[in-house]
Amino acid sequence: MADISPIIELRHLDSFYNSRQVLFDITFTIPRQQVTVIMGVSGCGKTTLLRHLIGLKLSTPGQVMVDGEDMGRFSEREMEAYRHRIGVLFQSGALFNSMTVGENVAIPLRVHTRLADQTIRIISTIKLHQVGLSDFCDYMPSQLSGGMRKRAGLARSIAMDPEILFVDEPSSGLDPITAAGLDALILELNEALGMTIIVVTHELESAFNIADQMVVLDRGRILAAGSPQEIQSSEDPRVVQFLKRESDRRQPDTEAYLDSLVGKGRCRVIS
Amino acid sequence: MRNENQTGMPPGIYGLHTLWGDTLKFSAQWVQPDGLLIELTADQLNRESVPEIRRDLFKTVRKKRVHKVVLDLSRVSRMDTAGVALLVELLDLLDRRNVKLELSGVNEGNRRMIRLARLDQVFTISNHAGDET
Repeated sequence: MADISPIIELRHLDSFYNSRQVLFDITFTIPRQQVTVIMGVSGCGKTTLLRHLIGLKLSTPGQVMVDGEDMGRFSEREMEAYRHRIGVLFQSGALFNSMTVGENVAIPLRVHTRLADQTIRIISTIKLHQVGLSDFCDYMPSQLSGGMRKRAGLARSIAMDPEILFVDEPSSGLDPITAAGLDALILELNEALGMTIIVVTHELESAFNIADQMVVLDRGRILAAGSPQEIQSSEDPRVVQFLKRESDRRQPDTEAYLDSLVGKGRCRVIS
Repeated sequence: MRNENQTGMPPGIYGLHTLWGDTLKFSAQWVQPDGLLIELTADQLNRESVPEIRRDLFKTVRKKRVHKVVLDLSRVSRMDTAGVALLVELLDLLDRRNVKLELSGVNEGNRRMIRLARLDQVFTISNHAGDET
């Protein structure tokens, strides 16, 4: 039976880019060995939240607790230990263009383990095989399509069999068949390894396929959280609008718009 | 029954390797007719333990002339992809010497790891030594 005690807990997290607040009072828990999907339209704060979860943006005010310990108070050594526990697939795949696909996948193993070259080569090939790229080990990233680069990035993010895997927009830019294959792999990693997986996405079909629990963000706030069934049956108009893929027809803030055109907040285009 | 005469080795456990204190080790013994039974006694076969186990395990199997190696994993509670890669390397090493490899005592979690690596059709896995499934 899976241990679903919280592995990560967010408490009243606010986040800012300079003076602009992008996350407001985010509080929820991520259960161990479950797939948690963070959803929302583009620009709702999903990727910022992911940056907090992986320790790229430290949380003030608010807390990100990992196994009950405040990440904001981690020493350098504790942060390093946490980074060894996690794998991250960034939206772009974030491959090193000067290295082959196989070398990219092998990087974490070369840097963080004492494994022999041959063992590393086999692990890299296994991971590339899992994402359907076993024939592309010697290719350069520039020779791959966007979707293939993303899959290569996934192979690298699971090279160390991380305890926690963060995936940013796994399906974007992928054809439906490849996207479904990636969803199946995420579920397989969760089931076979008991991996805790956090997926950030706006792809509804994929989200409902893989999630044990969902968090819906809207303009930096949690709009709804719960099981896929609970989200599906939500009567909150914004959740319904998101699930029905309805465009946002809210009246723009005319005054703020005018300010941006002529006032203090105007966009600087000429230096 | 162990084959003392053919191998020239005394029966019973002859190689007990303690790798990290008392926690990680394996033992090897001759089995009838000219096979080698290796019991991994490490609790974890993972990226931490594989480098040492690999070195000693390969040294042991390279030195011996056998037709079959049975690798008993019943004491390995957890294996990661580095552990699976070690098994692949061992399989390849033995295959090049026409030596058959059989895995025994593989628990469900470790079988899942092997399946996840799409290698379940590659290995011969038995519940007990000499009992292929």
